Amino acid sequence: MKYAVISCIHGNYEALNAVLLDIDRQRVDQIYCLGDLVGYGPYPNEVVEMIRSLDIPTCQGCWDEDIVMGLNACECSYPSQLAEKRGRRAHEWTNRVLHPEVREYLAQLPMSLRQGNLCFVHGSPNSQHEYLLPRMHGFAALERVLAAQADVLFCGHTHIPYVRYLREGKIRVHHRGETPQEFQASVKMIVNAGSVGEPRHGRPNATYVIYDTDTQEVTLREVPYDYQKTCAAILEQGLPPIFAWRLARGMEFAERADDPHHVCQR
Amino acid sequence: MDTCQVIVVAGRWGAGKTHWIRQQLAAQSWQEALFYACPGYGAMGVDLVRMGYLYPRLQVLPTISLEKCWNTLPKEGQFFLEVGYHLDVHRLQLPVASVKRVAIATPQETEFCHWADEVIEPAVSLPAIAPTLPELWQVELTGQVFDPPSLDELLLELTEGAYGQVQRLKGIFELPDGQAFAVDFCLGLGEIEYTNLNVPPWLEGRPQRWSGLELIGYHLDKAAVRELIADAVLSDTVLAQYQVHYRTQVEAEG
Repeated sequence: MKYAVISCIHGNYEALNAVLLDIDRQRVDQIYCLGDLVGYGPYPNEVVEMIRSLDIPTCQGCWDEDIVMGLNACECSYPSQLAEKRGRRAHEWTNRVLHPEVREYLAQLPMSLRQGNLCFVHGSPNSQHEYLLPRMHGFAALERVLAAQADVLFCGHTHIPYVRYLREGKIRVHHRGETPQEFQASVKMIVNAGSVGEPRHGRPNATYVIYDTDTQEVTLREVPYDYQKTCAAILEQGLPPIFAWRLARGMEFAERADDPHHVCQR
Repeated sequence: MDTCQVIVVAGRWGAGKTHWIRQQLAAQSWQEALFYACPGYGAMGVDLVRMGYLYPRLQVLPTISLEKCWNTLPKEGQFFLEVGYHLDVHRLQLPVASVKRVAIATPQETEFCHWADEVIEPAVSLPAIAPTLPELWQVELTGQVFDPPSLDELLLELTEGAYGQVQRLKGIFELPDGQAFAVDFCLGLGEIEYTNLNVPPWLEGRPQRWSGLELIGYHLDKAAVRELIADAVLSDTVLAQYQVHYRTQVEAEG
């Protein structure tokens, strides 16, 4: 089976269309979406309608939750005051334009999805808001995969795609006076799908991943699209012009947390 | 008879005028009084304040115009006068005898070369000269304290051209730990340069020493930059919380 995994579309309809077209060419069997359909970008309703119309299994992202439940930030949500103020403006705009049925759809999205030994989450199995950064401590990373009872954990949220193999899954427990016990986990993998609509890799191109269960091969895909159309729409819709400037440079709309040791407090 | 030697330094933005003056100051024995002014940048400016911090024995002369410089001209010593890029050197009135004209300029910059007694080639290769002069825009920030990660983003976006084509950025900024530092950027010359000004930490209320931002560029979106600054500076409440934290830290270390 070939799975395409997309994440973090953030109301960028042009990018989503380009990625769906690319997926079509790759002949995948199933698409999964890791959430953050809305927020920052100019087409939140259209993106949700597209995902729904294609019946793509989707889990809830942090922005999807925030738009339903209201903002409740941990410090990792906004690493600077500037990012927080911009995030609030984007939240208010999205909250204003979102259709009621779209809000209802976002509210009922699950925290995680499962397919055999694969698990799909937005941030981590603990929270849509927690970042599984590539430099996260190996033990903590393994704990997240084991908590999901999966061999392959797909996540997004960081907006930078990566594949991480956890080969040294050995835990040794030593109680005083007792024989040490060892637990050996099989090789685990964390796959970050990057971001369709709000890349953070220095180029405006959308990213997603394809996973082949037969070969266990992961392919990171980078898809160019007409990002200028999205930039023009950002300006037309009255969103902060800096969002367009940053999108065109692959800088994200507002910078993200990058402390791999941070544990989300939400 | 006046024995004050005036050294007038001119050149385009980023040519290295201040850098050249700093080289001269580094070679001084400081036996005689040394003065510095930079007319054309308002009463106070980034260079003036920074030079004052970096060289405590240098007497910096706040001045608005060149005329006022002559009124406050000291009787003895050496007076470094850094002329803003936007002032026409050929129209400069230099009503003192002992004046040396130094241009930091390439041979192609004939207006400077014809005017100067001594021409020094810039140490770095500057971007091509545009047909029109860029705009100089200054924002005083005295009393404002920045959220450090927000200031990083602010500087990145300004220097990368999000709010107009910034050719040159200079600034003095206050941080919540009470420190102040200077920032220097010139388009085409690499990274932003940061200099800790080693001033006494200001941990009681809003700093009452001068800070500010100076941009030289084209099509500067001033309203957006003002909004950017407003989003990046700390409120009274947050600043007070920071200062309590840092005072406690200082007391614990002391």
